Amino acid sequence: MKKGILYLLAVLLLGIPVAVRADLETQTGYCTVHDENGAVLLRIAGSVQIGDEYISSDNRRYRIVQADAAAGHAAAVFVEDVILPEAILAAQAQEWIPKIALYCTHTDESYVEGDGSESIAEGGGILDIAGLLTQELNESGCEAILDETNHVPHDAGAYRRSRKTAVSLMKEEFPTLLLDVHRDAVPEDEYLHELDGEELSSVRIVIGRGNANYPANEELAKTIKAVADKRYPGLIKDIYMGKGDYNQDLMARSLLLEFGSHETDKQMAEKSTAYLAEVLSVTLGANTSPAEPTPGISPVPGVTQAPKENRSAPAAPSEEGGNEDRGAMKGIGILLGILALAGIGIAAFFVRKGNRGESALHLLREMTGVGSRPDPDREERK
Amino acid sequence: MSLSITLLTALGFLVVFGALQRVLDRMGLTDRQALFFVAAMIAGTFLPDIALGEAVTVNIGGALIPFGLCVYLFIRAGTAWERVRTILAALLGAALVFALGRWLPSEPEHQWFSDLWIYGIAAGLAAFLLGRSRRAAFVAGFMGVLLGDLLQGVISRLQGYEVTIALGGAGILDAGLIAAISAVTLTELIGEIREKMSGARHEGQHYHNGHFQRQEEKS
Repeated sequence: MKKGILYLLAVLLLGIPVAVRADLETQTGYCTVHDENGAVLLRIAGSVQIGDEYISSDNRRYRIVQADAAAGHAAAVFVEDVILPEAILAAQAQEWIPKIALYCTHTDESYVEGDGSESIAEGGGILDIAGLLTQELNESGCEAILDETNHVPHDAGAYRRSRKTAVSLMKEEFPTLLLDVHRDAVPEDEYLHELDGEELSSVRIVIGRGNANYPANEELAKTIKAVADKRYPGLIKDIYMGKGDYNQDLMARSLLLEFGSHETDKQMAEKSTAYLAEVLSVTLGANTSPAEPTPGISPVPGVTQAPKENRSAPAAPSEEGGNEDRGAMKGIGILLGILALAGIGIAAFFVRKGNRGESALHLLREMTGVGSRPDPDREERK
Repeated sequence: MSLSITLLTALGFLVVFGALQRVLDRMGLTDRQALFFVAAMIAGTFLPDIALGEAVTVNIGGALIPFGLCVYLFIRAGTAWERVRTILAALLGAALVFALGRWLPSEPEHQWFSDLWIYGIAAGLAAFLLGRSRRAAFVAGFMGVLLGDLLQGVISRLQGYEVTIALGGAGILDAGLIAAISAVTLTELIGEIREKMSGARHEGQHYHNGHFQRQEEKS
């Protein structure tokens, strides 16, 4: 009987992946999310989860409350209007050059129009987009490095493999910002955008809400959107906060970017890299100032930056910094929670019915070693 | 704070406070040895990877030191049968890690919880079903991910893709270490539940290596 229960438990645990898999078969390959009025809010590859959050192009926050993965539909409710942070640029040393490390978890992702296929295992078109973004960032006052390590196949292990690349970049480059460059898999009109009279692909920022860096990354994403909204409205189409990690637990300034979809004309995705590079450069406070605007681009209204001679002055505490602190505090909270749970668990195993006082003292002796009898096995080993 | 750092810090605290004494005893490790390995893995993470040709790199903290620990645990196994079961558990763990990687949805948002945990649970189950010891759980958890990565890398290379097989490449942040820790935790949890259910502790027995032993029989 007891053995049966244990094997049942094992089968149930093994069955979790089966249940997860079965729940995720979609008819269209993407999910359409509707608001309370039935209007389409967004479309996103795969499926969404209840509890996911979304900041729309017009800065309204929604939360997914219903999701039918099989049908490829979900419903979201309006939560609040989001007030994007004023992009307060941290006061930096005079020669501040932010370092940005880029990699692509799904190196096979490609654009049908431009690459001829939506997936090229040897190295997809997304690497070209990441390469172009790297080049543009380098020309915008940042120091950008792209790691082109191939993480094929495009399966559940891809993020596990790209985790090694991300850690390697962190270890060797100490980046200010870590970017994982992707493209989505939805109809192309989802990302179509017109800027200065030319059509290009807008960019979606995806954040994992399953890690302690979520608040800091969300704040950074909102700051990037604030800068983009002022310079190039619509370039950052939205911010999706999905269930998952995306290796964003590794560092607080870590984002996933979606450059269009597989149906997007690759040239449109290429065009958006220059605009985004400039937005990132301004957001991170690269060595530019409102007094030295990029040719053809207006200074950012509302964005304050310390004059060059004063950049070594202490930085004013920013909202983002506060969120990083909150992220760290959350991490410590999780740690304390694990310790508390472990303590309670251990206590539960040691404390027996009937003589709790004696057992508690026994536990205390075990924990501290004070008054405990020597363990003959351990002595023998020594 | 990343998942692995949280886990390792919690582990360090639990070792220091003696709370893992019983688990470590059953793994044949002392507190000092456990702390040494934790510290070595953290330090080794920040050392440069060792390149084995063009295709393979080995991280010292994420692969070499945990592999050394696995070898140590394997040698310390009580019986030849336990060693056989440990090898089988590691192979089953690797097969599960490989199969889950292929079969589960590719996007993390589609999974109920982080894929880093899924591999640990799979390897922990392999260890429980075949190894039934904490030693086997650690070896199966770690080697499962390591061999699973190796298998996938070899297949990709054979298919002609120029991939780098980065063994333990993320160091202490790698899935292998998370899998090993969660596998031991799972085995301990199942062992304790089974022990509690049987009431063996009231009779001076405990669950070890897949069956109940009297305290003095502990290896």
